[in-house]
Amino acid sequence: MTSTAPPPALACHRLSRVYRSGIRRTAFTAVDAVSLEVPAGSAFALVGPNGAGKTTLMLMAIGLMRPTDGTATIDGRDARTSEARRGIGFVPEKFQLPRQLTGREFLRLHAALAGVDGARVTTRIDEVAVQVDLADRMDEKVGGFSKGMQQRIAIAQALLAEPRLLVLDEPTSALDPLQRRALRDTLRRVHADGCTIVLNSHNLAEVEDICDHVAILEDGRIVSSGALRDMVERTTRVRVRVRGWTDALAATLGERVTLDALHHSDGDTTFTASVPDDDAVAWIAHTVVGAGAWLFELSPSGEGLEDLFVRTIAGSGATGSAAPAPAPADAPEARP
Amino acid sequence: MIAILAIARSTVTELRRQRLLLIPIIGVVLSLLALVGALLVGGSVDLADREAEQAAWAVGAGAGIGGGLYALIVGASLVARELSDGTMLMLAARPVGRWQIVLGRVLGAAVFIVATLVVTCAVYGLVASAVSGSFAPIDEPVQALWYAIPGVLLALCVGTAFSIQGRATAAIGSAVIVSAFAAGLAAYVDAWRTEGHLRSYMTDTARDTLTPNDPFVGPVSRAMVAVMPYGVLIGHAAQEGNDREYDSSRGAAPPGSDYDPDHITVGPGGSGGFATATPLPVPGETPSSDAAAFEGPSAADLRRFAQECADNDGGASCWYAVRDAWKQKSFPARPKLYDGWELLLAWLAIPFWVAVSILLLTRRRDLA
Repeated sequence: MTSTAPPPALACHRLSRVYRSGIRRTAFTAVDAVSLEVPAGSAFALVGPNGAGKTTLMLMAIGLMRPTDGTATIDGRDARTSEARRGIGFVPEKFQLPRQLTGREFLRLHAALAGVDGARVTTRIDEVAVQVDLADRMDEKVGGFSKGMQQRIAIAQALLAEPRLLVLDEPTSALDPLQRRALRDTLRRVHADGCTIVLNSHNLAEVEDICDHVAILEDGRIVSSGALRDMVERTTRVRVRVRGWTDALAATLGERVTLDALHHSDGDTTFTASVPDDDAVAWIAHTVVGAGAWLFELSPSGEGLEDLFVRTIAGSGATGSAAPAPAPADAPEARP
Repeated sequence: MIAILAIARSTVTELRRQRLLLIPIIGVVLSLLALVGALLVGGSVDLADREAEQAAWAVGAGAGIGGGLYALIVGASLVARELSDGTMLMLAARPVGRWQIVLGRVLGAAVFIVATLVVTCAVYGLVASAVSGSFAPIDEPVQALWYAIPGVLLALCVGTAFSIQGRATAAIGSAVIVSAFAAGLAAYVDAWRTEGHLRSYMTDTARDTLTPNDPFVGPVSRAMVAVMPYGVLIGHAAQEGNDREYDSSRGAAPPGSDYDPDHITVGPGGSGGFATATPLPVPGETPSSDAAAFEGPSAADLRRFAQECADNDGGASCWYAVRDAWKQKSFPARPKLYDGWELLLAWLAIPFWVAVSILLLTRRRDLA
């Protein structure tokens, strides 16, 4: 069975990167023995605070930066070979485009380098130009583009060769809300067509919208990773607002769920509770009403990736208790 | 190959649209102004022949020096800018080797710089021909380019290699580059010391750069040449031209003159400035009885002799002949330090520095 399983779209094995600076060559470990696998066809997000090592890890993973230690493969091939990079689309975080080229010339260069069929180059350039809403600006010099337009043309070059693996480092940092939404639509579309996406973004709503797998990186180590749905669902919380709160009701609820952030105000009582499953939510409603209280609100507390992120980072920083979540068998593997 | 050509084409397009192109344009405009100025100041000088050729050689050497500087700027910014800007990341993420990126960039820049030099010199040559009424200036810049181009390409490749390595070695590279130009500067100083002025300094640059007997310039020039043969190429370009002129004029005395390089004479009146004679003493020979009381050729003699030329209306031809003869007599066994192999050296050095560039870019840990 293992012999027929497709290799992961991207895999890192104990990748490390140590920077040395100053006369004393002081060492700083940007990435510390990170291992992960991005399954083919997934949309994988790498999130973490500034300076966590996301960009460094990303660059090493696609062979653009030499690791101090460890290896990276793309579709099972050494990431540092040209062959492995065939079929990659990449938008770096910090980029400048060749200012003297027009948008069309810039894309034509990348089409040639990516090996796009000569007969299809013009058509393909027109297609991606429409996708990034720059069709009417393609004959202008890139140097005259706004920051957002430059980011879009950079995204266009990444999409140009219909990549199997799309690696995007903060691809929406310069885009306005409309453009972000358009890009999300585009990414969902290419993902639906089978393209694997690796996204590095601080915009966690965007990550939740596009990605199905996530790894949280801090201080060069992966502190949590797995399928996004599993990671968020494991910690589903509800917010409850009740009128007619009694100690008996509190005791009853406390038998099954943990009440957090209990707060009384103007006769109402609000609290949040971690719930293991949907039955627990129904049980809370039934218990409150059964106790003769009025249930004004029973809603998901809104914990999503952002809450998970904050809790994970804060937890790992303060107590070190946030151990990497056990990844399911089909999830990206994290071995911090 | 497709990748290399695509990068080269893109490089040409980028360079063509950069303000850097103003450098050769300004250069050719200044050269033309200098030519016009020489015409105006020269007055009755026999410009159609020798002066025009000298002026053309000046632009030839200028093409070498200016083109070299231009190539260094282009080369130093070629890959370094891509590395600092991050454009290299997008190129390197493509299925192309870093060697292809370097080759494509260098090839594109080389094509662009050579084309710029050729066009610059052609424009100058054509205008100079039209102004002076002689077609000699067209031929001479072509000769200059023959020697200047490998030097310019070498400068491009050296600049590229040093720019890849980063700041520390960029400083070393700059030192090498500056030293190469310092060799040229030393030649100017020598020309001034020898002749008391910088007339025809461009052509003298070559000869004096290669003057091995001068206690100051000789060692400095040799040291500079050892570091980087670039300056010598430019010098040799001009020297070659001078030698060709000299040799051709040696072959037969111009009709109607009593020109003889072994018995240069000057005196009042006469056609071509070579009429009534005061023989220039030759080392090891006894001056003729009516010779001027020279103790031997020296800078002071030359200046005095040249002044006689001028006073006696000998014209520029007389002056040059005197100077050339003095130089030949002064250094009868002058070794040919740089005979022609420097061209081969330069052409060999170009792939060497390209290989260095590829190696440096390949060994770079990161491209960001």
